[in-house]
Amino acid sequence: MSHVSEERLALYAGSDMARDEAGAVEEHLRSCTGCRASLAEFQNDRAVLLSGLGEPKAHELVDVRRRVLLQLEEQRRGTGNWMWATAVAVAAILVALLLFPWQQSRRVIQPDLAATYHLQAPYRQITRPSIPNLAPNVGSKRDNRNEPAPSLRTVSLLSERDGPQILKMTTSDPEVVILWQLNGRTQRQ
Amino acid sequence: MPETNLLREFIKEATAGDLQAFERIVVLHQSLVLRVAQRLLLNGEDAKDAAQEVFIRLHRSLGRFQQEKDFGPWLYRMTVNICHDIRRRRKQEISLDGAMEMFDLSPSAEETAVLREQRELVLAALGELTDREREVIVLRDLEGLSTAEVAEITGSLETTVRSQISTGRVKIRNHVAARLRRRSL
Repeated sequence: MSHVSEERLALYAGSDMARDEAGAVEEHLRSCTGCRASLAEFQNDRAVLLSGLGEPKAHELVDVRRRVLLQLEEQRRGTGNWMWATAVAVAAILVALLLFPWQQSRRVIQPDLAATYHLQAPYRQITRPSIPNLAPNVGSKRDNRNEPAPSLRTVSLLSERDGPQILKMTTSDPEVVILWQLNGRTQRQ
Repeated sequence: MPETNLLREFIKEATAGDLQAFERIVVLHQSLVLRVAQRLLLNGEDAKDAAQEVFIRLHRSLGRFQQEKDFGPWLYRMTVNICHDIRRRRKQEISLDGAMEMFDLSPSAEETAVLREQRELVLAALGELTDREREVIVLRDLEGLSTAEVAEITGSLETTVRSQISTGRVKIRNHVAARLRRRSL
C-alpha cells in the first residue's frame, strides 16, 4: 500500500486540497495508521502555531500609533516650512517681475526712439555706427568689404493682440530686413 | 474588516487632512498590521518599524481607496512587502530569544511545560522558513486567509502558493519532529 506523500498530507491538514483529491486521501487514511499519525503532527503544529503567536500587546500598539502620528506631524511641519519658502520665493519673483519690465522698457524705448528719429528724415542714409546700435550683427560683412551701409526704407510697427510689439525696418538692400522685438530681442532676415 | 461605513467616513476625512480621522483608521487596523509584522519578522522592534512604515505609506495613499474592500488586501500586501524589504536590508538571523519574549510563550496555569516547549519549537521552525514560505504560512494558517487571497497579496499563482504552503508545513513538522526526537534520546 503506497502512503500519501507528506506534501499532500500537509495540504490536506489545512483543507487546501481539491474535494476529489481530498476524498482519495480520506479513503487512504481510514486504513493507514502511519499516515494518520503524520496528519496528527501537521494538525498539532498548526494548532500550536495558532495558540502560541497571539495578538500584539497594548503598549506595543500605543507605541506604533505614537510613532506614526509623530512622523506625520513632523512631515506636516516640514511641508509647512516648504510652503512658506515657496511663498517667499514666489513673492520675490513677482516683485522682480514688477521691477524688471520697467527697466526693460527703458532699454527698449531708447532704440525705438532712435528709429523714430531716423524716420523723421525719410530715406536718410544711416551712418554705419547707427546700424550696430539698432542691430549689432547687421552689415558686418559689408563693413569688411568697404561697401556703403543700406539705408532705411520703411519702418512699421507690427503688433498682435496680447503679443509682443515688433518694429519692422526695410532697407535699401532687399536682403536686409530688421525685425526688432520691443522686449529687446533683434532678429535679422 | 471594521465597519465599512465608519471606515469610509474616516478615509474621507483623513484624505481632507484630518489627522484625528487618520488616527482612528490606525486604531482600527494597528492590531492586524503589527500582528502580521511580528509573525513575519519575529522581532519586536523591526515589527514596530514595519507597522509605522505601513501607516505612513497608507497616509500617502489614502486618496486611491475608492472602495473599502480594497483596504484589507492593500494593508496585508503593504505589510508583507515592507517586512520583506526590512528582512532583506537587515540580513540578520532571526533571534529566537527576542521572538519568545515578544510572543510571551509562557504557558498559563492550566497549560503545561510541554506546550511551552512545543511553542518554542514551532516558532523556531517558523524562523527557519524562507521569507516567502513564512509569508504564505502566516497569511494562510495564522491569518486564516484563503489560498486565492494569499495569492493576490503575494502576487503569485494559487498553485505556487499551495506548493509553498505545503513545503512550509512539511519543514515545520520535520523541524519539530527532529528536535523532539533529539531531546527524547
